Amino acid sequence: MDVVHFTTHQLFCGYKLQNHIVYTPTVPIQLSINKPMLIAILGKNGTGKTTLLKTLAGLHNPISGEIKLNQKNFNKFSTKQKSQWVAYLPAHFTKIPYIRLNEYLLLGKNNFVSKFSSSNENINSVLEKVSLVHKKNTFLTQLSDGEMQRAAIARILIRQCPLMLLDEPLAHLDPKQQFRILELFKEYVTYYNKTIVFSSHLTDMILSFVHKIWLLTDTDFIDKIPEQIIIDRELENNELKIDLPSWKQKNEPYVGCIRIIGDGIAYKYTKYAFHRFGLNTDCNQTTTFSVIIEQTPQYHIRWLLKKEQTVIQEFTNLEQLINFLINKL
Amino acid sequence: MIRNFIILTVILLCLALLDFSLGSIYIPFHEIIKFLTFQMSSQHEFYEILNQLRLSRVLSAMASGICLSLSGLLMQNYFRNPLAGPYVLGITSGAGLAVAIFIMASNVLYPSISTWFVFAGVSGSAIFGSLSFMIIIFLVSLRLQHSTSVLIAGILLGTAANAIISFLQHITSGLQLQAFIYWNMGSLYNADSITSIVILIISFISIVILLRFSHWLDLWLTGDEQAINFGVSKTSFTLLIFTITSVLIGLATAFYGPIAFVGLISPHIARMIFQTQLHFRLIIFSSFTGIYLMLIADILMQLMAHTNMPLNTIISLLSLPILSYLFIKKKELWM
Repeated sequence: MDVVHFTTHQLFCGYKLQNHIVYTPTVPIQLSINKPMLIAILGKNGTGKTTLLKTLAGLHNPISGEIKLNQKNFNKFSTKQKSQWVAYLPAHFTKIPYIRLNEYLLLGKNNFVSKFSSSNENINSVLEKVSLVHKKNTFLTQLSDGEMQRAAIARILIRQCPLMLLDEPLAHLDPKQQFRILELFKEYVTYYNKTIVFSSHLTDMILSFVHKIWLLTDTDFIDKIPEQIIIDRELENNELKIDLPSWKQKNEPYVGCIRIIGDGIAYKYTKYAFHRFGLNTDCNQTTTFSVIIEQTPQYHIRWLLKKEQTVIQEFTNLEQLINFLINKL
Repeated sequence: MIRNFIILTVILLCLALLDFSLGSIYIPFHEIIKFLTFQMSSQHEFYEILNQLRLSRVLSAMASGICLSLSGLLMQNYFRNPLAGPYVLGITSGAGLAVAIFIMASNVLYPSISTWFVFAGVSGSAIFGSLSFMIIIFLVSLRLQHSTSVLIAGILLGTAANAIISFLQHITSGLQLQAFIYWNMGSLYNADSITSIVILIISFISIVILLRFSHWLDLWLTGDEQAINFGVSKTSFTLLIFTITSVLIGLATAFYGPIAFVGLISPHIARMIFQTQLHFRLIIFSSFTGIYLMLIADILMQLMAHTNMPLNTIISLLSLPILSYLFIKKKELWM
């Protein structure tokens, strides 16, 4: 049961409230998975990523339409059959007290019929993949949110379901771990023939990893490969990518007139910092102070403050320099 | 696990022996061992006391301990709330209400259970009362998403039941009232040995069933959706937990009265001592801690026999320091 053929036809997801139905996503979902793939679901907050994932996992009944797994109606499967095909990881998970990490990974194993220790090897290899081997015997309550997230991912991977649906699996992770988990997903798709669908907001990071993107918008369901998404400027059109506002902030009046001498990143950010604290650097008046940015022999940055050719003071901390200047001016 | 089990059994036997020996007269241990191994002749001076009084008392303590702690464990698991327990959720009061109505309507003198009619009537009405209150709590919990709201609903329900019980007490008089008040104080003297053995057998069957499904209990703690995704059928699980809990609470409440706190704290004591939440172990461990609490309460009661303190008073006084210790010392009691 390795390769899944997973299709939906005119699938409407959402919630039935007392007198009306809320459709999230607002459009019918038409999708098909016929070979192992890594798929990311993108979309703004509230476009229905989680509802879609839950519906695909069989935890929510669709409002209308159907989901087919290997040509059979998935919603007619029993809870146990569903659990063998589709694994689902919610965005939030509880750290159950008095449960150790290795116990957590095997939670749900029926100890009435099987022994715990038999899957020890399996646990170790998965924990190694999410770099948590050293925390094997730690209580869940002592794990950080990021570690807990990786533990939960490991718990899903260990199940070996052909289709895995993960809701924001990268949310609590640091950039390096996000990268490693994405690599891990790719490994499971390539070598173990699993299909992994996950939702995320880390647009830039995931683009180069995934095979396909399902983009949920208010009016559309877009199912394209990432390159096509970029070419069609879908991310910009749906406010999933924005230009960062400039660093410059012109809140306070500029005082003084300081000349900065230097280059590279140190020059750029020294200037930004001066502007943010209201120190003028672009002026035609005669300069009162000049700051020379230098690299020390130990490759640290230092600032030499000069007044009329004489060095007054040397700084290794930008904040101290700015405070000094503000006091002087 | 096996080593723990042996240690727990040894402690259990010691407490049981101590409980056997205490009472209106002191009976030395070797005589008790003789009695328990069927080597004491029925003409022996202690035989009647041990057979008629002490045996039923010790068995009652054990049966009530198991029933209460298991039902507490199951409620805490099902509602994922450390404060849940049969008493807190008002289920004991529900059983109490049903028993009160039965006692006061059927005109029987409760403490002398002599006929199968009374046996079936009291136990049946208690199980009916606890089951219907559990169903109400369950329906409420479907409406209220937050488990704290469920607790509050349980407390309100229990208060309402107690109010009706007070009203019933007010309109009845004489022996019925006395019978009910005695029942309400909780006592290990009401049930005879056979009754307690039947309850013990039922609770052992429940333990075996629960151990078979202990992985469901573990998974349930990860949340509804995770549990369902791991193959737990919510309907079957709910049915399982509710049936077992209401039978256990119903039986315990019917024959030993509405005993407070034991159901709430014995699972916590088990969790803290054994540092585990795996229900395969927790079911066994908290059954033991439940029995210990009941035996210790009974031993204290025998030591203070001259004060005629009711069982519920002793248990409340005993539970209070334990409960406060747990809350103060171990901050991460649950979540």
